[in-house]
Amino acid sequence: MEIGVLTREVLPVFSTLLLPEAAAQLEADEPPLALGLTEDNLACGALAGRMEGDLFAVTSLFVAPDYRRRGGGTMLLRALADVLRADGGVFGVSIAFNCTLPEHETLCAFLAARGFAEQDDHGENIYLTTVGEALASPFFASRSAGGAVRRFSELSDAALRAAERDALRAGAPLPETPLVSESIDRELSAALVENGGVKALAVFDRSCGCLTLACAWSGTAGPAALPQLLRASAARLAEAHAADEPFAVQAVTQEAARLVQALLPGAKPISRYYIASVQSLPESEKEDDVHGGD
Amino acid sequence: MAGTDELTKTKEKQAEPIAVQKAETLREHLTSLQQWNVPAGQTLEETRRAFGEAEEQRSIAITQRLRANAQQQLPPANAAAAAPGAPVQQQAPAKKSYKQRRKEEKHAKYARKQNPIADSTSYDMVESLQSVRQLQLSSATPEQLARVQNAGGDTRVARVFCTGYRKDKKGNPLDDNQRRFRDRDLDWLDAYAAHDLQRMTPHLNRFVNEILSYKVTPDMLTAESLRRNAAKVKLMNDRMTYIENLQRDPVTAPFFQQLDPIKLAMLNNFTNLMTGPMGMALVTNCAARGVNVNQADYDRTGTVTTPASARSYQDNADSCIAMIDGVNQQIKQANDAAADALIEQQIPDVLRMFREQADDTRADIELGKTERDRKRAGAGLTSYVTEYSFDLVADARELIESHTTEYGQHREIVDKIYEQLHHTVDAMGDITLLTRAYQYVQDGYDAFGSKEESLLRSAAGRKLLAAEARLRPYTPLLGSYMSALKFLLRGGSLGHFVRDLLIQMGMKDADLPPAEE
Repeated sequence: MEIGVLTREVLPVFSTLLLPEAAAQLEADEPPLALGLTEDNLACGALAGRMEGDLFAVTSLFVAPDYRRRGGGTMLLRALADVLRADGGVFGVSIAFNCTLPEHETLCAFLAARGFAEQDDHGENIYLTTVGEALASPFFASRSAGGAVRRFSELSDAALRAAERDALRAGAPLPETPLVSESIDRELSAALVENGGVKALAVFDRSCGCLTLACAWSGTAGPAALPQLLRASAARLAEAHAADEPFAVQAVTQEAARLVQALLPGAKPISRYYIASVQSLPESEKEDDVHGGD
Repeated sequence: MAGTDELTKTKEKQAEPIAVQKAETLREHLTSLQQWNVPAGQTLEETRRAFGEAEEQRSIAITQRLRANAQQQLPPANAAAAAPGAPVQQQAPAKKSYKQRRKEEKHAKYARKQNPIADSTSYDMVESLQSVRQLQLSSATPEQLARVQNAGGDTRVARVFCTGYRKDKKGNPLDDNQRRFRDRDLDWLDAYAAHDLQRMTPHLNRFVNEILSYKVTPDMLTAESLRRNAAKVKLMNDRMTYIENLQRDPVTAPFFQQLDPIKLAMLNNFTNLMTGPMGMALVTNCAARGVNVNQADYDRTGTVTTPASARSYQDNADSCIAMIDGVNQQIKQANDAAADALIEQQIPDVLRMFREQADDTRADIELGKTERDRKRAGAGLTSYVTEYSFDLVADARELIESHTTEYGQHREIVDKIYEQLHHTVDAMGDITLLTRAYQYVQDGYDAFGSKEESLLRSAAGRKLLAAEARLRPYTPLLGSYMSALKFLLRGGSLGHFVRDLLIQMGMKDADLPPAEE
């Protein structure tokens, strides 16, 4: 296997081996550093990344399944490390991804074996489960909604914008996606409305492609509002969604993480963020694990 | 290893009396660090933007340097030979039966009598072109066209936009559909002859939408395809040509001036760039077979009568067909550029709206009504603010204020880090504002809406992605600053990155413990 530098000219060959964003940057001649792995003139792997702050962030790393366990991934990392070491001005490499497929688990093991350390997020993560598993939680055994709970679909855009503004002012950990965005599931998302004002919110979002409970905020309504909102959403979840549909919960604070872990013990954290210092990456001289797990 | 002098200096620094002891004095000091040093002739916003851009430029410059280094150290990835091409797909001719062959031979014989280089393909092309022309003339009768001409209208425009209808043996429309076609054509011809823009408007909308739905591909211009579809391609090309006449016509021009700007841009990009190469490919490919497209007949002018002249036309046709993919790409780029410009036009108003919201948030926090707000007040953030920005500055400030002894020991470096952290948060606000604005504009367009909406939504999405990419480096940077502050003030373990950051900010290698893995 051989390593070379990817340029726009050979991108048509390698584009399927790169994540779309990395391929698009290379196509636009923006500045990712991209390396290609070839064997017998056949493209079989690629790595791309760029500086983000003080770290070199790997934005795409992939070896084609038929060419794995032959040292190709290690060769890519080793070539990257050689470039970074020779430069001397970069001291770390990061890689972030969501672990949703078996091959991502393989990537975790691969990175750990090559000097990367997983960063502790103190539970502030995205937790993945299924609708069925979530609804099986004892917490959702009761699914009755109080009279003041309103679906977002029952509220006007103006009311949602006002609610968003008020909630932000009150410190609600709202998702980046605006509440009127079409990626917000207005049937599942619910608000506790009193005297025309929104007192608490549960926001379900699909911007990442998966149904996600992006925010549950009890606001000024007190802690009892949250179960009321979530159980109302659960009732609709049970009506309109298949039990095996993936369902994610985003915990943006440590309190939320503890709550998710308690309510959905089967939910797995999926966001992974690995960092390695350049010194700890595989070196060229070592013929360590040519038959490693990559 | 640091030199003796430097070690002595460090010890002196640790031993010097803590200048800032009272929380109030420390707060004032930290507040002074929050001030932007705005150079003469520059606004605060420009200074803040320059600070943020310097960080982004640094990342870009290092990546470029790394790429250049990699190109020196490694060969180019050598897989060019495996690059898949994009061959023009041609419809494979169906196998011909004996009866069909005999029919074709008969047609070829007839065609050759009309033009020595014509063959059965030419025969089918002429048949196709004539049948559509006849169909159009069913609506655009000589009487109707004369009426248009007498009213000062363009008969070509009037005819080209007619659909025509099929008749039964008595000369009436064959069925209800054909009757609808006839009535629609007659309404168009009447409105055009009467210079009645109001009546013409639904027709003009229909023409524009039809042209915007055209998709021109190389394979539809090959001889094999034109044999069946020459008339359809000719009609498309004519409509693309004559819609420009309608745009110039003083009667119909106001319709186009009031057209949705993105629709108008898409129409103009398509007709300006595609009409020429498509028409040329059609004309030359037919000419190479002895057919005059404009006359809907065999070429009888003697222009193309030898195999050599036919080859020359065929070469022209091939080069025009080869251009089509590139032209489609140019149209896409031009449409994207138009959409980008239209998105940018909306941004100032959206930015203003979000800035006002942020100003409200800032004012509320500065009022300090809640315990949380009192903690966050006086953060000195000047740009677009979020709760996160306030919390981060307040957390850093609280950390310093609750560790005055350690602060006194590392005052110089802590000040530097706090200042950097504050300015980075503030500079980040401008980009956060942009991402929110692009997201807001993007959400205004329906993802499953019209082609135009989809184009504008994509343009806003591209800009959102670019803005988000600019935002990405800030998070790890701010994390590093906070970790560095925590290490200096609270102690604990030291990671590689924070250690290197502290060295970059002026601390001596020897003064720091080794990094823990």
